[in-house]
Amino acid sequence: MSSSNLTDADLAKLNDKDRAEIAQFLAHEQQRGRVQGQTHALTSLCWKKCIAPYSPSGSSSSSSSSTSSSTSSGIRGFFGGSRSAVGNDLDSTEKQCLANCVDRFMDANYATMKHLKTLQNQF
Amino acid sequence: MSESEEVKKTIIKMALAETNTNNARQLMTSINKRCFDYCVPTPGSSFSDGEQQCVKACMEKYIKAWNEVNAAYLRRIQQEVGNQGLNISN
Repeated sequence: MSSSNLTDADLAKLNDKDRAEIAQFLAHEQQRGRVQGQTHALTSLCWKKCIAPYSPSGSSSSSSSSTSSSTSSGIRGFFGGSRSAVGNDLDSTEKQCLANCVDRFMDANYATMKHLKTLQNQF
Repeated sequence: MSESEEVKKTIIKMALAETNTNNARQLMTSINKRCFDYCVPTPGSSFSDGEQQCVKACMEKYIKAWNEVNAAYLRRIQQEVGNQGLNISN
């Protein structure tokens, strides 16, 4: 049984205590997976609001070019107009923004659900 | 170790590996999207040095942002559990 391929015969070896422990563990793992998944969605959303608060394509081209030309017009060619001066650390403003973003997203979420209830009675 | 315990440990190891692989895959997908947006707003004819440096820094920063968001989310969930009755009833 050194490989991770389990057979029905292997599963039959489980006693009740270990079965219960596995069930509990799997429930916990599922919960961990859900929280991680929600964290991924929130990070992606809040990254756009707090760290990269501009839309990179289409209508934003005027605003993004104006910011990059004001900061690094001389070396723009070399960096291809990209954001060159990106630190790998979060500053305190960004951290605060991320925390607020999560809390306000949850608030908006509850407000939507609450309003849905009143709409349901209306239609 | 009993046979039962051996099977249990194998199952637990498999489940952990699956959650962790899934998490890493989702993280890489997000990083690729967000850091491409962030570092290559206007794709040129080559991947410049500046863009490469940006992607590396962005990746590290994104992971830090993930940890911040995760902490904030867990804090919020714990709060909600604390006053669940209040929030759901009204």
